[in-house]
Amino acid sequence: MYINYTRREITVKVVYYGPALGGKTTNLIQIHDHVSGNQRSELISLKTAEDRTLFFDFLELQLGKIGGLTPRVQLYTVPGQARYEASRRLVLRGADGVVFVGDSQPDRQKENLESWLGMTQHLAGYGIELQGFPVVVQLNKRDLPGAVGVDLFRRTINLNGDTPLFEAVALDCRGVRETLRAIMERVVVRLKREISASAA
Amino acid sequence: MVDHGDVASGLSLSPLQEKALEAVLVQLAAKSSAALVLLSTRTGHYISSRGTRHDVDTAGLASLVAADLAASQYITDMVDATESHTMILREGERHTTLIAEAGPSLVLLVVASREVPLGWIRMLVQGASQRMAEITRPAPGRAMPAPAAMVPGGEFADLVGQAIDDLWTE
Ligand SMILES: Nc1nc2c(ncn2[C@@H]2O[C@H](COP(=O)(O)OP(=O)(O)OP(=O)(O)O)[C@@H](O)[C@H]2O)c(=O)[nH]1
Ligand SMILES: [Mg+2]
Repeated sequence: MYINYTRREITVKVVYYGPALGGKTTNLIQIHDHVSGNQRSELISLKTAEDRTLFFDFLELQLGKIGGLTPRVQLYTVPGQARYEASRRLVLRGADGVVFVGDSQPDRQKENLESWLGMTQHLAGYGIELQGFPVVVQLNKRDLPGAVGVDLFRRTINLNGDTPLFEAVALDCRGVRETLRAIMERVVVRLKREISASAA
Repeated sequence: MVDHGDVASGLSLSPLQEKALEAVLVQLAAKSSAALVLLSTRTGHYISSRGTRHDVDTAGLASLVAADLAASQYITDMVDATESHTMILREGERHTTLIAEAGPSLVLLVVASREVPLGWIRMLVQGASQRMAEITRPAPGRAMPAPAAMVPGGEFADLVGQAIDDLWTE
């Protein structure tokens, strides 16, 4: 979170985390394509020649003024491939909320779990416990035949019942906006709580 | 693993601190005849910039500058556990690019012409970094000003949700 008093802006950071090829970058591409150019930055992608994320993708959105205040959101993705563990940790630094993008394909459930546990561990390394931290889960690739049931997925990563889950087909932009909206609402609720606590 | 600076807590600068940082930036830009000096938080939030180049995507640059510094520091941690002041230097054909930490919560980027001597730029950046570190050092017993008044009350979360929907074009 960064607060600029002079310009009356609050900037928050949201990280899309999840297993390789789950659709994190696709979420950012869709958001980029559905928001007009004067309310977003360019999409920055540090990627390999094969379009796999190497370090991160970055996109900033500028929301309309609310009570004289301009909220800005920075969206990042992590690289999902196993060997980029160190980079994932760096990208998570300073996150105000995370979107976990899970893969619906039955043979990707082990990767979902490993990625979820890795995320939990990195956050803990930054002194953040999942309980009370803004997290939204997106179960992506619902269009694929044999997609796992939502309940099975929840059990696989041992997801607490309060954490919202959105089914998505990011490739067709289904569930992308809903996910973004949900994480932002949670980030803002926590922000307000922290700010009132520091004011007390 | 050594951790550098603020992580979960975020950064909020008082208007006084912002002004002081701004003054350091202006001076640095003038003395180095820099095409661009840019200040970002360590987590990649853009703060301010100066210089003759105005066509840059400052938000994107800030995220890259912070990531570059974080990656460099991680590399140093892995091969050499002693903590040091990180400064990344790139000598291009026409420009010198320097990325330096400025205290635990800020990063500084300087892009200057190759005609400006490197030693001079380095000295200016070191001085500016030090002053910025001092400006942002939290004084003991003095809490950051509470921005409570700045955040609208009521249904702020709903309004932000609505603002996300409003961004969307089909
Ligand atoms: N069928 C289907 N394919 C999808 C969907 N979302 C993304 N994809 C495809 O899945 C592949 C991987 O998507 P990316 O967005 O690059 O995945 P990622 O999570 O960023 O992967 P890494 O960068 O390696 O971590 C691409 O070929 C996408 O087109 C979806 O909802 N359904
Ligand atoms: Mg990707």
